[in-house]
Amino acid sequence: MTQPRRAQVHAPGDVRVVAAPPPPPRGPADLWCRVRAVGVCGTDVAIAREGDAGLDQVPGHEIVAEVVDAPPDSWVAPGARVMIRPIRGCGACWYCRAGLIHQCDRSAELTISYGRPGGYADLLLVDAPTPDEVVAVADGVDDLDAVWAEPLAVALHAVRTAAGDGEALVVIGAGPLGLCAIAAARALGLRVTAIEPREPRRAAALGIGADRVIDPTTTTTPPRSHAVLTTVGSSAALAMAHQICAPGGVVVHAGLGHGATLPDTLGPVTTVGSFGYLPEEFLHSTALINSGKVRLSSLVTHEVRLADIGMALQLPVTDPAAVKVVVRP
Amino acid sequence: MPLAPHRLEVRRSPAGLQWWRGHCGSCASCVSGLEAWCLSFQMPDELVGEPRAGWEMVARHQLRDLDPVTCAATAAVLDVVSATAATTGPRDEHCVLVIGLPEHAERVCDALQLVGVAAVPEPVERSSRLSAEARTRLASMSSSGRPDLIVSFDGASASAARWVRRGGAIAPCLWWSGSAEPAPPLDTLTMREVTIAPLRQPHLQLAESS
Repeated sequence: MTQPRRAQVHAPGDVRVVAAPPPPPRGPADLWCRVRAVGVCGTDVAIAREGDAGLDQVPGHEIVAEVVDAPPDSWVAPGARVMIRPIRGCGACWYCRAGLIHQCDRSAELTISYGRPGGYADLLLVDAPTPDEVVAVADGVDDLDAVWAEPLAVALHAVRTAAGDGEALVVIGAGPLGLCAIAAARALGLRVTAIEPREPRRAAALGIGADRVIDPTTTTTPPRSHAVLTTVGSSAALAMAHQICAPGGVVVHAGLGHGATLPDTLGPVTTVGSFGYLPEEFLHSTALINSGKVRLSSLVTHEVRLADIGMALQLPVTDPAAVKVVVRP
Repeated sequence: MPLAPHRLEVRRSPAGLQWWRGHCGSCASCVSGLEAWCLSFQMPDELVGEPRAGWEMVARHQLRDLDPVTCAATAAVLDVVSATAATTGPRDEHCVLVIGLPEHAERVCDALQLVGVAAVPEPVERSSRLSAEARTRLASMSSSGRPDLIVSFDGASASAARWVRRGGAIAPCLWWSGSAEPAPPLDTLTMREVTIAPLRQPHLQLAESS
């Protein structure tokens, strides 16, 4: 094999492909994986732009890989394709003991692509994973469907928080997270209305099962709902969410947006932030993908080689047609 | 004239703690989730046929035993304790930080303790830092070291969103303070999974009844 490479943050706004350091020997419970496909998430774009995960960090956390070296008694053998859960907890802090590992005190240190090297590389070491952190991809499932396992888990967490036992959900924004939320909501049996200004994204929302789409630039009074989920971090979207949420309803904010502000008056509604997911939600996501109940590969608009990582991280910002960019080492 | 004999009844069910609100559950306000504005609000003494199955009364306090401010504030906190259990998860231990009410915070927390809710006062209003005394008390009363719920009678929300435990809830009391600081930044709300609960104005008759 040629010299393995990885893409790492050289300086804020400067991500470079470099030769990976020599791999350490595999620990007795570790997995070595060859990366097959990695999605570009807004978090990766932010890490690359801000450098806030530290210089030399390797971003990329929506990972499909092939196991190349594993312990003899591992549940995944060499050659298996796997979906990897990047969020990891210490198991000892208050949050982990409460089952909230996505809020672990050491999450930033332990999470793949933040404290640990991520997937924009040829090879990835997954240290001592458990079976709920590395899940085999079923035969016949395309890498470009499996690469959605992580964002679909994020969406499942947000949708469950917003809809509870309800029957309907309004999703504001039909970007990658919004589209995952629509797919997750449909998988949970909810009726979904999507609000999105871009026509291609409204079409994509209908294509994956939204019952109704609304263009907020032409509709001044979207229908009221008891469950509203925002997936974009803009002040206008946040204000709309609180405007259309019925009294006693729930508004969940799953998007990030530096500088975005909530409206001054939130109204008689419950406002909730949603971030990450629980281990069982990642497993639910992989089950939906492996069973074929959720197929999102059609939403991959760009496949980019690792050597062009700089372009891959720019496309979500510069190309209005971009929905999901996938890096293929 | 004596104060109206309103009582603060707290009952425990398998689902958790609930403050008796006396709302009808079927009028336009109630079905909109605005039970505090119930159009058919009844005093506990007026209610008949109320289902008691599964409920065990754990405390009963005559509100006239409390001063009006303490009474209303306690009722408001209990209301939001009940309402946020669904989003923050019902837990046996639920530690509340009460911000503001400089002259009443201790008595409010005492009243909350009487009905089984662990509560810590932070009487200093609009502070950028939690006082050392409040931090010490939280460390001894909350296993996470942070409050699960913050009710800010000074209307503060940005600082509360930083002080509450991740996945916890805050309830800025706008009708009490009359003003509120801006809501917390979106990234803080999202990444810390904070819930902002609406704080309803309880139906309590605080003046002498005629």
